Amino acid sequence: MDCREVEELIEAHALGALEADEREQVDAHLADCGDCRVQYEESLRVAQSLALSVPIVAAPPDLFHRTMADVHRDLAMAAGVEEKVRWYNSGWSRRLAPLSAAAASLVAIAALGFSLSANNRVDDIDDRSAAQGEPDAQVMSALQEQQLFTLALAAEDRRELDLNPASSDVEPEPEPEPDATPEEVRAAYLWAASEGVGVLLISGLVAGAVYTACIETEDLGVRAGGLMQVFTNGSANKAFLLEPGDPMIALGITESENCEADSSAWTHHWEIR
Amino acid sequence: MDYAAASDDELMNGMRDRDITAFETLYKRYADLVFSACLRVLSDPAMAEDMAQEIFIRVWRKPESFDPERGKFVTWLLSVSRNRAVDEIRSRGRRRKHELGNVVDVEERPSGKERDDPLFNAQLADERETILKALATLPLEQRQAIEFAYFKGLTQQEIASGLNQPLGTIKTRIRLGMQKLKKYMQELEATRGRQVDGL
Repeated sequence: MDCREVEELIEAHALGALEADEREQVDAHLADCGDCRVQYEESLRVAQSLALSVPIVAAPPDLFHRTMADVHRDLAMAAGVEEKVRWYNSGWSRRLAPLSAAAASLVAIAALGFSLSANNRVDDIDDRSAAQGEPDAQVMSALQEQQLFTLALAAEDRRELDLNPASSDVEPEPEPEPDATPEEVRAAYLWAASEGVGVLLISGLVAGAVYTACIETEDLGVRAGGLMQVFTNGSANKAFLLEPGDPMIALGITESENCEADSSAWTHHWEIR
Repeated sequence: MDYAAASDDELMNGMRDRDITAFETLYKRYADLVFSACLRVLSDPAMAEDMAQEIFIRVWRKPESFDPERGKFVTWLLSVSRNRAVDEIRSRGRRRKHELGNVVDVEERPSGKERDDPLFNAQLADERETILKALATLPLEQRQAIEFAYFKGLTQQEIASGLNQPLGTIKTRIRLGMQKLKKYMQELEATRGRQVDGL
């Protein structure tokens, strides 16, 4: 192609509207012709500015949460275990209570209930995030739950947060009672930073009831963490995952379909201290 | 670093050092624009959300992809957004004639960024106004051909087929339209330059 032929195609090339063979010929000419290249770059600048003409539509709030969760996961994975723990602690140290024997027993019970297997991994955890907003899609299969739960339990940097008692961080941690009554609702929270997976463990719930898991965070306020169906494995335990992208204020469950804006209205709630 | 006052280039330098706050600042500055650009191309909010997430994660993982000597960050970011979104619809084979539709079909829902973020105002409002004014000077058929090419990733041949017009007609519309845009923007920028010089 000579300069005259190329000039005819420069604008279309800047818009990406040439067929492959035309594009190759124009590119070959531009590589050797400074004058045409200047014209092309001017056209390209105009074409690129078209992107600014789009109607501005507010990005969905969940996009921030999803993106930051990915970034945090990346950061933790890239930095190695020591860094992962430091990152974890930097955001959570003031809120962490010591891991109690009660929480440990919950983990043990739940692990048995879910037939822990190191081979079950979930390659795309974000499938669950993508499903948010569609109530029917929020119910995960038992296999998905097991995979995610296994992922959290198997993570080397897993940390357990005992959520009881919720009301005070001044009183010393009460000793767990080995024969605690089944009616007492207790909870623990597992957070595996490297996997970006959190699991809420609750015991003492009514078997067969359906709850919505709720989460309240500093940036995004109250939102549903997913549906939780309580099942019985002898102790009415259930694990469910939540994935905080920003510091959590409260965790809980409600019998309502949607999480009430005030976390104290949830059927059970635990403040993160 | 004063993140709110930092330039895009400074924030990108921070990201090269894995500064997550720099990333978060850039995200909040441009999430609406990136999402809007993806939405314009993909015409599907769920796909646009996934695409915007992918683009920001790419920026986070490879901040060195942006070369400040080759242009402004926002121009690069929007080009990446448009190109990735176009790649997506091409890969999904969504270039059929009956899907040409109308490219000017997205309802604008102001995000509040225009009011809240002085950097958005200072850096982008003028440029956005310029291109909108320039586009408004074009005859509808020229604007339509240009937007089909840029936002739908269609070739001239595909646009001609889709609109049932001769290829030569589409080529002329694109060429004349782009030349008018270029001329209008150059004149407006020259006028603004003279106003600044006269201050």
